[in-house]
Amino acid sequence: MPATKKLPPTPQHAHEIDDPARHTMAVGRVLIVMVTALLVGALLNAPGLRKTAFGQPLGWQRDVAVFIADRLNDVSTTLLLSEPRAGIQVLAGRSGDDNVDLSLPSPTRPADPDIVWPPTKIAFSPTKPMRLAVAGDSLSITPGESLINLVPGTGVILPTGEVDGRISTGLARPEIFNWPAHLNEKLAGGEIDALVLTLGSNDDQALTGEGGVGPLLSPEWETEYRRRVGGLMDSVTNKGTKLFWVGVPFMSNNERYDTRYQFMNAIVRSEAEKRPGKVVYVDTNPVLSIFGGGYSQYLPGPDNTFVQVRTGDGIHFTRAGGDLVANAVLKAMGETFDLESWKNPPTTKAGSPVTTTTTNTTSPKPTKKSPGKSPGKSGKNK
Amino acid sequence: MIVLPVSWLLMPTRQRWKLFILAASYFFYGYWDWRFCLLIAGATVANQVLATAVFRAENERTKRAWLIAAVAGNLGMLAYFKYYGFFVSSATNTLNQLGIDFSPTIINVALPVGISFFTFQALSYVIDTYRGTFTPGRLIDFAVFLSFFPHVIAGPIVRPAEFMPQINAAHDPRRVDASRALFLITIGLFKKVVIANILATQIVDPVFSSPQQHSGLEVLVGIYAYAIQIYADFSGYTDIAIGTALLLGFRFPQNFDNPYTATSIQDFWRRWHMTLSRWLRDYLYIPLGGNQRGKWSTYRNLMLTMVLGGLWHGAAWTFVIWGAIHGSFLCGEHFRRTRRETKGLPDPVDTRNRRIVSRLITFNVVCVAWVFFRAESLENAGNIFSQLLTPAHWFDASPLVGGMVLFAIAAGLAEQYIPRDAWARAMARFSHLTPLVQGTVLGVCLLIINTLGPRGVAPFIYFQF
Repeated sequence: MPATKKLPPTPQHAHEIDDPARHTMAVGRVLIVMVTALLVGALLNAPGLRKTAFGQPLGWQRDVAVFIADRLNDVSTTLLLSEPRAGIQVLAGRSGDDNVDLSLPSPTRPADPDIVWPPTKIAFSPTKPMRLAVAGDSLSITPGESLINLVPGTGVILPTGEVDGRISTGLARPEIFNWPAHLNEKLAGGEIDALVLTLGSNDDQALTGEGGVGPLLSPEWETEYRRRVGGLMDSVTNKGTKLFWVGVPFMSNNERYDTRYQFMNAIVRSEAEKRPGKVVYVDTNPVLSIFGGGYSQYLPGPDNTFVQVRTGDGIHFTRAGGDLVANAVLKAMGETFDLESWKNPPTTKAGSPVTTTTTNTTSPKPTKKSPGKSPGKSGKNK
Repeated sequence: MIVLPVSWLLMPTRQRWKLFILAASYFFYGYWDWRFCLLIAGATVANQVLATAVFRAENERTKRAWLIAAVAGNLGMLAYFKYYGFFVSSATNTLNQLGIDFSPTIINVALPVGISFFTFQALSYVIDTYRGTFTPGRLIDFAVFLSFFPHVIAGPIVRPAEFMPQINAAHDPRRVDASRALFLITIGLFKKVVIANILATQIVDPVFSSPQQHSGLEVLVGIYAYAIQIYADFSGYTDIAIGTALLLGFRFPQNFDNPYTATSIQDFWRRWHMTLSRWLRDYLYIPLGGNQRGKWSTYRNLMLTMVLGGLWHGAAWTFVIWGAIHGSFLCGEHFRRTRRETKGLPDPVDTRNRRIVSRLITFNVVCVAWVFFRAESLENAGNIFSQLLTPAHWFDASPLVGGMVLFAIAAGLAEQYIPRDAWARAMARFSHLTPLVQGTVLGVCLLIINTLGPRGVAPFIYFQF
């Protein structure tokens, strides 16, 4: 770029230059090529198109798209044209990508009353760290990354992977992404002590899938959304994982927040309160507003500075905003778990630290009660 | 599938075609936010008035005054929409740290998509008129040039002299260069949907968001992966834009020429985002004096051009450093070249080994600069390098360095080493196939792209600029 003398001619690919060996086409033939390509592509990708059609916004266009995609899928499957796609998915390690799972669990409690949760705060230590997973919709990504960067500083929290963030997902549309099924699989090993989950910002719509109902915010909608929230909470906590559910934060569209998300947050909060010791609702609004007000794009930062905490869309977080949310979640974890006592181990009379492992440095897990004992209080919630 | 057939039908009647393509372009542009249409319409009318005033001015002084008004107006608009928040928050923080209480109300300014691109094209229009290298056309022609949907969002940055004559030229609907167009669109889709998206989701985003949670190997591969991701993303978009324009009967200048085969940073800038680099060269570097006013002036001009080129991408110190790294290496290369010339030494012999070493060095310098380009902050960039340079982290587990990541990096690099003639031969052979066979081949390509690409495609990186 910089030299003003001896400027080279603008480089071009040979394939950009008119090539007499290449034939041009009349527009009618171009249309035939394009239609053929789309038709062949649609038949070969039919299972994926079907899933895409299911994920369209609700309405007649979606109904038409699903109808056509279903027929296309039938033809493709019958002619075995969907096999190459399945083969490539196996090679790429993404089998099952095209499955559409519409099932959603209901609350199980007190279906499993035998699970007893330790009444006291579970203590963690560097030798027995808390294993943390972070998941959710697009609002989980930046705060989740901040949290993963923040927790090593505690010395006792071990992130188990990247943020499992899925854009445009929630509990309203399981055909787009089925969170209960996904978390069921993710937590199957019982190795996650705490899950930080952010869901809800895409759920202000009619509900599809098992038990699907509308319109938004109607009594039927509330009942079904409550069932889904409660079902997910139980499905997670029955695996011995403590759930930190991060509520939907203020948004620049105040009306949308006031009329929809506040209502949805109230449902999640009340369901969390029915599961004390298992689910913690984290309200991040206090740290994202000034003087208890509503949405704020900028907030006072450290050292008398002024920092942007929300991105231009008025929904998502900047890194500074993500840090604020992450600190709020970490504070909630500190109130729920014992993350500090390992720093001051009990000492003997002579003043030397106890060298044997004590109960407060272990990670107690929920246990099954032995037969004959009376049901514990953990089963009291509806 | 609607715009193309209608455009072809209207091809012989240019006036109707212009109105139709203008309406289609505004529809696509307004799809993000209809208010942006008012902005681009306002910019079109204002620049047409200013260019006409420049053209009709009877003396140099008046001409210059209109030009200054146009440059100030365009850059002012760009500064307001793109840099307002950065400047106000920076000023507020500086004043507050000096103990001066300053709390302005910061309004949330939405960034119109493509503003950096169409502003530069509008500037070209007025400046070329001032230089006498271009005569302003009719308002509708200029409106089509500025808003033409294949390039309005992320380029290529086309010159008025390249595009506007094509608007009124005869287009023959019986002779469309469709094989090249469809070839480019397919390659562009593969680069974006498969290569860029796999790398973004599987390694780049995790590594750059939490570098301290990853091994040295993951960080290193993450940096290389970002170099490939941004190339695949941006050149993929450009391929699609060029292909779409070709189907509409228009030729765009090329924007990439195998940039990672460059043997120096100067060579890199002749191959990377070529339409931006020639814009900066012709409208910034040369007007500053280029390399004609002595050694130190050349260094200053190189640094200024590259730093401003960095700031063009966004209001952040990371972009400034990215530009400064490129500027410094350009200065270093200029210093070596002029010293050799001063001493009367011949150019180094161009051997294969020398080319390989030069390419490796250039690629790695470019990758170091990309870290700043991609990092959220200087602290984030520091964490990347710290993790990379701490030997202890090299032995950590590296689950992100998987087969698909290595495949995508290899594919992105290999694409740049395919001989140019091979592309031409492939396209010529493709153009000789019957329409049904061509369609079937493209359908199979769609299978590969759709199946390998992660679900949910992220926006093109350059849409944010």
